[in-house]
Amino acid sequence: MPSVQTAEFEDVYRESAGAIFAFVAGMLRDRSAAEEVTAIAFERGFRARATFDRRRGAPRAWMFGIARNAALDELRRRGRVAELPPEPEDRTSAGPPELAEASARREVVLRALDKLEPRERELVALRFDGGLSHAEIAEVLDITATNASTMVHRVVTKLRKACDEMA
Amino acid sequence: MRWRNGEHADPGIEADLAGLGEWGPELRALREEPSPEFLARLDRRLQADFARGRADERATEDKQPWWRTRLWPAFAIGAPAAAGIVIAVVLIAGSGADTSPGSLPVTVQSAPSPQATGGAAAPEGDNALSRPGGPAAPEVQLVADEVSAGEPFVLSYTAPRAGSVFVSLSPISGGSATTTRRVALPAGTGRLRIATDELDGGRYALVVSLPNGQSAVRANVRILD
Repeated sequence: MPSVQTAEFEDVYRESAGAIFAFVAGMLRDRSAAEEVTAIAFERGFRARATFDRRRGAPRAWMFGIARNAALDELRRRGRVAELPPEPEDRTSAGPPELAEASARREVVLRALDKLEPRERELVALRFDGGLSHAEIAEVLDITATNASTMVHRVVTKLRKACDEMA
Repeated sequence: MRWRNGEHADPGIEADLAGLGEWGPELRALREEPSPEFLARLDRRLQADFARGRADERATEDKQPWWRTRLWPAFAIGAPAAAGIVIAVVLIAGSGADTSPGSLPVTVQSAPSPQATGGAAAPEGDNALSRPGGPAAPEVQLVADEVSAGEPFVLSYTAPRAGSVFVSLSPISGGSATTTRRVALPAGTGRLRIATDELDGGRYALVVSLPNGQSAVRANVRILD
């Protein structure tokens, strides 16, 4: 019998599909690609459910790990590991002044994210797009929870500093 | 389609976002949400896999021997019990019919038989074949032939299978007149307790007999004053 039965996998799928899409979209900055990678990740996860080892963590974190690998595969395929161009969407398009200002501020955050190392961007995506706890991030990245917490704290500090400098 | 979103969102995220100061809300606003159309497409795409997975699991279950799917859960629960935890089932032995009016207050404390819980069978004693009633009959032994007033007489027993015995306690010198009682014994090992609270001190003849009339125990016992 697989370690994760179909019914349990479906539960994980329903609980985490939105978060995994957000995480993958945060990694790829491409909604269309994120949709395909999310689907591929769930298909891979379902096929690999027999290999899931409960001693190593929860099914949700395991599924995030599969999605992370699928996203990294996509980035490698595109040769975009070192450089992530923003989405084609024009976030500073014309509109009311307050909206334009908000868009400009988001553009600052996007450029600051581009300054981060790939691993740091992963951390941001896992934490703020995927909504994972430090413990879950630790499971996905195979590090300790303390280490994950420290790394998240550091990247937040670095991202804030980068945003302040670019503003 | 029942989607559950945000159930696992870590409340600590707010604290980490606060670390970004004024940029926290902007980072949050950048989070992409899946469109309902995408989720519907994804669901359709995965349903075939899920249906196949459920069918495979059902087929696997059907291939297993019936005893594995039906009895294994019982074994899984029973084996630890046999290994270390003795579940004492106290049965007031009232299920059997008394052979005479009145009641001898006998209770049975039993533990599940090793065979019934999936554990190793208890070794048969050397005298199993020679004991009254043969190897299938319960073996009963008196623990102590003297008890203080109010203390029970205790007999230990091993019953290869469920059955019954007749217990009688008759006064020899002094003491109270009592009755014979049929006592049901579950398979396994356990103890018979004969309460003496209502009996006077003195000597009694304790007899535990099998349904075929043979005596499993015949002893002179004493309740101390």
